[in-house]
Amino acid sequence: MKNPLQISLFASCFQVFCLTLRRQFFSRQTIVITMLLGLALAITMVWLVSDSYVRSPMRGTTTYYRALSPETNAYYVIGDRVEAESIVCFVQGRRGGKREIKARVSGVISEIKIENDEKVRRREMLVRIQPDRTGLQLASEVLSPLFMGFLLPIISLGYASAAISGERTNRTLVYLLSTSIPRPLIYCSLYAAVLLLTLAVTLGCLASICLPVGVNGIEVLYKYAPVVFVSTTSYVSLFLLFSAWFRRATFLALAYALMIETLTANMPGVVKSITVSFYANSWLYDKSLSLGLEPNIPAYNPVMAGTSQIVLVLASIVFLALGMWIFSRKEYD
Amino acid sequence: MTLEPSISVAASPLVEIKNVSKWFGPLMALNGISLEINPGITGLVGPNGAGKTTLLRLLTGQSKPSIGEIRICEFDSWSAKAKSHVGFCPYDDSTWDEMSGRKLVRVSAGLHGFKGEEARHRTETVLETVGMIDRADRPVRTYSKGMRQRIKLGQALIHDPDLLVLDEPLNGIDPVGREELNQLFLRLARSGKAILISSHILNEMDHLADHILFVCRGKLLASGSLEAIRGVLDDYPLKVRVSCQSARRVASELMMLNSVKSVSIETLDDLLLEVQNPNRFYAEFGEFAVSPNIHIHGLKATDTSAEAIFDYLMARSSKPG
Repeated sequence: MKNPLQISLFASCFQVFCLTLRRQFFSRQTIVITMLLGLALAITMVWLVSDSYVRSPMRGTTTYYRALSPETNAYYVIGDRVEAESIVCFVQGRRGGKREIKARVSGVISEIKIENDEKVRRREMLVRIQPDRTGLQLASEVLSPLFMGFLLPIISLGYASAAISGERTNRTLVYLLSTSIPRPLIYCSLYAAVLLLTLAVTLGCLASICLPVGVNGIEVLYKYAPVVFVSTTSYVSLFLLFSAWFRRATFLALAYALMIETLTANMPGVVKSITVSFYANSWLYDKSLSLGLEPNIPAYNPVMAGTSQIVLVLASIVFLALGMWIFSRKEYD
Repeated sequence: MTLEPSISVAASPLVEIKNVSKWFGPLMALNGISLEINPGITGLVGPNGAGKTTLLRLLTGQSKPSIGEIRICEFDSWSAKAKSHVGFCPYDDSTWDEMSGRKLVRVSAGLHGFKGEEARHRTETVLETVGMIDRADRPVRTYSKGMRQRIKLGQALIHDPDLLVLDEPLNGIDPVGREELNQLFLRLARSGKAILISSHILNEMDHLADHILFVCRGKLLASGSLEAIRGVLDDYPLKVRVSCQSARRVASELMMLNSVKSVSIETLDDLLLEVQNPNRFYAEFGEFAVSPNIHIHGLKATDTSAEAIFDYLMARSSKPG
């Protein structure tokens, strides 16, 4: 006879979970996040397909000459690989000599615009090169600034900070609070729902950015996934705490994400060690990951990957516990 | 269907409020209230800002008393156990508006821990009780105020609570809808529930409440049957300041009124009246003020603790019918 109560308590919590999941998914946040994700994907695509052009540097009209590939000892043709230092063509110099023109990026020649011996003007396109996209480039040019620095905190705060304060401003929190579920359990169910939704969105977002890059992208995806998982959890714990604590949690979380996370995380010194992104970045910079990322600020001074993991996990637990404590004591109006 | 055996409940009152005060910073919202609520309909009446909503929020465990204690079926009102005995229908019309009425009640069933067939059965029963079964599939955002009130009532009834707390359920509802809701409340009360209905209009409680709690400025001023409360209000002594022209002449004429106990002349233009039966006084004074050669500039109750009652009675006497 003891069981029915426990089972029904579980059913109540599950209902809170489903309700939150549903209400958060069908919300304005999802629209905003979808738009941001679309924007991020567009940026990635542009980055991915944007070709590098070799243009004529000489003033006036000069003559174009095709160059020989050192490997094959024949003219470069479409589809040939070039390195950054490869000489892809020549143009006539001022005094009749030929001036070498380098590819400047490594990649594959996708188009040769001008025929041999043709006249070219200054800035005219000569050769188009499709650059290689390595995992390192993906990580340092797209993922670090765009995803880790912006999308991840925004997605987390979008769902987590609205979860309680949104219901509160909507005046529907009272329906959750007048049920016979103990408040800490309500908070845990809310947390589970928000965490699941946020993780699904952030990991999905990471995958949709990485996968178009191909094999290199998949490699980066595997290396980023655990970092994204743990830092999303930390963000959700923190922002749900904000949500339980303050009425205008979204603004506060936005201010925190934009001011503290973005500004101080890139500052030298110890101030940055209060941010989630510092530990996430430290984890990514760690040599054992062999991604080869370097902190772009010399004085960044990252901590060890192991330390970062411990700090992030501990922070999540502390934020969750604190949120439960506040939620079970606070009188919501 | 009740969750707890009622044997333990029968021994003590369903709700026991012991010397409860609640303040928000410097604002004293409730001041030393003690009362008991038993099965039947109890009307919580008072002017706006009297502390009705605060009291209801304390009862439903939305907030905690600053001092004092509220026990519902012997559990502290803040505890989760007490809440399984309480159904709450809040003042605000906002619900999960995107859901259909049936879904909303079904979700409430889930929140109270009912699953599968049991939850479905309870949902249909409750929808039938509140008379929403034919309109239950429309989204709540398309509902009228009366329909919202019914669906809110539905979610409050889903776990068959012993105490039903309704915050101004009749506010803004047309007379026909009001009569239907009243019938519903009476039916629920007959089935043995305690129903606490708050209202700022005493007349709404006609033919409805067995017991009235009259609160004002955070204090429980009176409690008893509707007639008893009416009597208390009617005999409430009141001091009224009247400003007029030629005070001496007006004073002598005011002495003629039955409801005026004494008149004193304060200044050349001001009179201070002591009034025994405010309700009758306002009726008499109304006629007196329009009689020829009398120029009344103003009328003000000076007794501040009675000011709210004054306002309240003014509103009531100005209501047609």
